[in-house]
Amino acid sequence: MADKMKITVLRYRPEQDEQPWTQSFEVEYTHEMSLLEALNVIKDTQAPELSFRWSCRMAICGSCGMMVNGTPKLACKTFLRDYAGQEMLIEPLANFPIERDLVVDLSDFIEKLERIKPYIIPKEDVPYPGERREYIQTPKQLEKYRQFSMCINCGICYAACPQYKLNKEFIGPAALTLLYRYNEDSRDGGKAERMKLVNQDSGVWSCTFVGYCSQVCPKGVDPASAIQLGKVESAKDYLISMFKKEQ
Amino acid sequence: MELNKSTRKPYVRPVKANWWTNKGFYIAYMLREGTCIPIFLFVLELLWAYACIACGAASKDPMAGLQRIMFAKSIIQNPLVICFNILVLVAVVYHAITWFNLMPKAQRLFIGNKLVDGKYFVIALYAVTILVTIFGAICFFSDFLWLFLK
Amino acid sequence: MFRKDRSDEPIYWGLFGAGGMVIAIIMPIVVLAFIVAGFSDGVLANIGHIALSPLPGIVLISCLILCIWHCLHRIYHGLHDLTIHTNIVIHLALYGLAAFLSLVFIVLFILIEFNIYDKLS
Repeated sequence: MADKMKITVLRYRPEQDEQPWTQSFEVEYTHEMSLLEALNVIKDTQAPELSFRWSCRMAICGSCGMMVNGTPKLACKTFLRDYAGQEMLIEPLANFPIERDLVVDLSDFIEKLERIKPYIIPKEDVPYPGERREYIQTPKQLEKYRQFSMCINCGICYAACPQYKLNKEFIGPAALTLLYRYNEDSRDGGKAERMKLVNQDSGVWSCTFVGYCSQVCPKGVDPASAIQLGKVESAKDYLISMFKKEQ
Repeated sequence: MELNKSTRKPYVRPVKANWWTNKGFYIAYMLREGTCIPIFLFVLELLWAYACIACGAASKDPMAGLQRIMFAKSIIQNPLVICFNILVLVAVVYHAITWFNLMPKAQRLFIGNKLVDGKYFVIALYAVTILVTIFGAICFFSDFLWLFLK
Repeated sequence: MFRKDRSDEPIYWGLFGAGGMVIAIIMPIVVLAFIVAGFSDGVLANIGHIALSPLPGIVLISCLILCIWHCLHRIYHGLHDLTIHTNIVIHLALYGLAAFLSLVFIVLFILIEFNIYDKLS
């Protein structure tokens, strides 16, 4: 019943370590055990000072992103049974500075999320239609952005993105996806403002369509698609700007 | 020891030039990008041959002109160039497959309220390629095709 | 050029995209034709005949010019992928090369189609 799994964790204690180092643990696991549970077992029984982030245990809070054998995953959505017969190497999310053990500093990602204004900016000339106190949206208008609205801001796509690895100026997959999601929302009036970010070298044009972000997203969002669609929008915007003077 | 002193010292992992070598997905991506090198060299090869033919065809001296055209022939029929061209064909086909597979992500089509499944784009692109290939084959290999018809 | 507020990538991306389409759809048969021409004089003569006639010539040369822009665009971004960070010098060198090679193709085409050599003599 209880199989054993060797889990190697990348450790880093800023007050005493110059560089990260690895530590291995043996954990007995059952069919249902997630990696997050296994880490909690290690913390409870073997290494009480081991640091990692988690909250909801059900792939909705986006806290427990980490590298599992080199692939960015949510620990709560990763099961030990899928690694039966192998070993597991757990590292903090790639492309972010390591704060302590499996905890990374996501502040760059959070700053970019804020920068793209991920909320509906009302259109000035359309207050509320008539007596109604809500906006009306057709199924097609919903469908235009629905797929891109499922993001939980876990940062896994940033860990998968070579262009973010190579150039931290890049706004990155999740933020550009949310940007596209709000630009495509029929209730939103902030597109002109956001397009200024899209049009920059650090916007969609830093992307080379590697496509790994869409592969690893735990919520099935397709950031690569949102960014390519954003490129088309930006190219249109470029053509228009050639004939129309920008304010 | 000051208890309120921050011990923050974020560790930034170094980025190496070989970051793409340990993951199949990244290797496939770099191969996809790498197809441009043999294709670029192939275009230069055609440019070279074209220049020979251009100068040869336009030459006042028919013998010198013929020599230039023969030189173009010697490029295209050089065994090393033939081997290289086969490599180019592999690169072009790999490019085409990756290009078509990614195309639905860059283009969306709504019919009514529904988003059209991306696979129809891919099928359409393959169909166009097959038509172009058949048309090209008729143009380039017409001598052979005549033989078959006889 | 080189504005911080707006990237000029749309131009190069547009040419890259058009070139990518050409390579995917048209180049397979072109490369195949040249491989066969490596063994057959008849096919080589056919290709020469097609490439030297005006209308197919224009189509073929346009395709090859787009291929050049596609390839050099990929090399430009590929250098960045290999941690050779691109700058204005590399930018001008690669896209300048693409522009130069395009010009060479156009000049050769004009030389052939309008028999400039004959008129010069």
